[in-house]
Amino acid sequence: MRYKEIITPSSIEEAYKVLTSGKTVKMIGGGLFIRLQPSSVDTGLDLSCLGLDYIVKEEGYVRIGAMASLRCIETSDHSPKALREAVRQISGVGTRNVATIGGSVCGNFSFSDVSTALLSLGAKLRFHFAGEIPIKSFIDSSSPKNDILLEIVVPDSRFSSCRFIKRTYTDFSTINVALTVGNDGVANVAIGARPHRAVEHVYGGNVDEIIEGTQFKSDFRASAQYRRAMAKHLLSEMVKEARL
Amino acid sequence: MTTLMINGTKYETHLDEGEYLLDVIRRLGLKGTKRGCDTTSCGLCNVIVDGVLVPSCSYFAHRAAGKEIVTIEGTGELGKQIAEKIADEGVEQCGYCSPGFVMAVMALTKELGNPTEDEIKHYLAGNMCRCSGYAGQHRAIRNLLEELK
Repeated sequence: MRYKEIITPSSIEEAYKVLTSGKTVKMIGGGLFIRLQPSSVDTGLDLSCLGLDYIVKEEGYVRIGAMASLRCIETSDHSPKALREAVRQISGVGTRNVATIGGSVCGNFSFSDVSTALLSLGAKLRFHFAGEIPIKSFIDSSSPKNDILLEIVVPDSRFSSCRFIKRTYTDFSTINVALTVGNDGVANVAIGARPHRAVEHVYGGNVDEIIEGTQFKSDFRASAQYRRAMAKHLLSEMVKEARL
Repeated sequence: MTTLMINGTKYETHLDEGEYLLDVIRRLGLKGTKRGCDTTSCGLCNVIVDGVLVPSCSYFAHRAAGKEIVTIEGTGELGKQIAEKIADEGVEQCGYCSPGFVMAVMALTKELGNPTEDEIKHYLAGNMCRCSGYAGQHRAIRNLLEELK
């Protein structure tokens, strides 16, 4: 990615003004995936000075700033277990010190362990202009586009876990599955890297029903059959761990 | 012009828009930090910025302004100790991964108290070595941690 200029505003209002200025603007979180894009833009909008790198525990939920690094999430006691498990094998420690949860979510990558975990956790995304939307809506539509993600709000749960199959320790996932049991007892399953983006189901007591209700496809990483078998195995393990 | 504090020395330099820290470091004559994959996958370009291990190939130089940057040249006695332990185990073949490994081990010793074998392996998962099976590096780290106790 090449930039004619990079602007690093110190307020959200200033950042939003740049974003909606009419120039071609790319928002920069960690800047890692964006680095690999073979294109150029007028303006890089560096979000690193907006004070969005936090993880805060409040009554009933955790608020995670969009610029919180994946390593902070991995090591924070406030992070839900599913999210800590989701981030820990994303590349190496150095990369996770720079990569941000906002960048991971907004990239809306189909292989994303973070998106699958957040989907099962029932997370909400809070944007500057659009306000709060469920992550499912963002995963399905990649919208809103021209807006700044401020934070991710994750409700408390009594159990959560995210598991995956990777060909090597830090590879993109071949398949990932997350299970969350909310404080209301409802169990939410998300399956991603199918290879398509994550989908969610409410767990009604039958693992096979969830797997049969999920579409899997083949690609260079794995066959649909393998993904289906592994998703069933991973979900069964988590159901056992959650004592459902 | 931007001021960068690298290994305790102030450098005044012009930064191109979007220039990455690895390019700046090497341009300033600090050639110890290597370029490997340019995608943060290999760990060769590791530096430490304000105590945090980062892949310099993909870390914007402008974000490092006002922060303390440590490269392999600035690792002092601990860096020397780590390098000696690695050399003692006969690990070095092409040697290209070593600076990045030393930086990662430095960060590991500061961040983890008394890590288990699995915790060490997890921490170093982002460091690739084309030559070895990592056994020598792990022996070196165990010896180092024993000495640091």
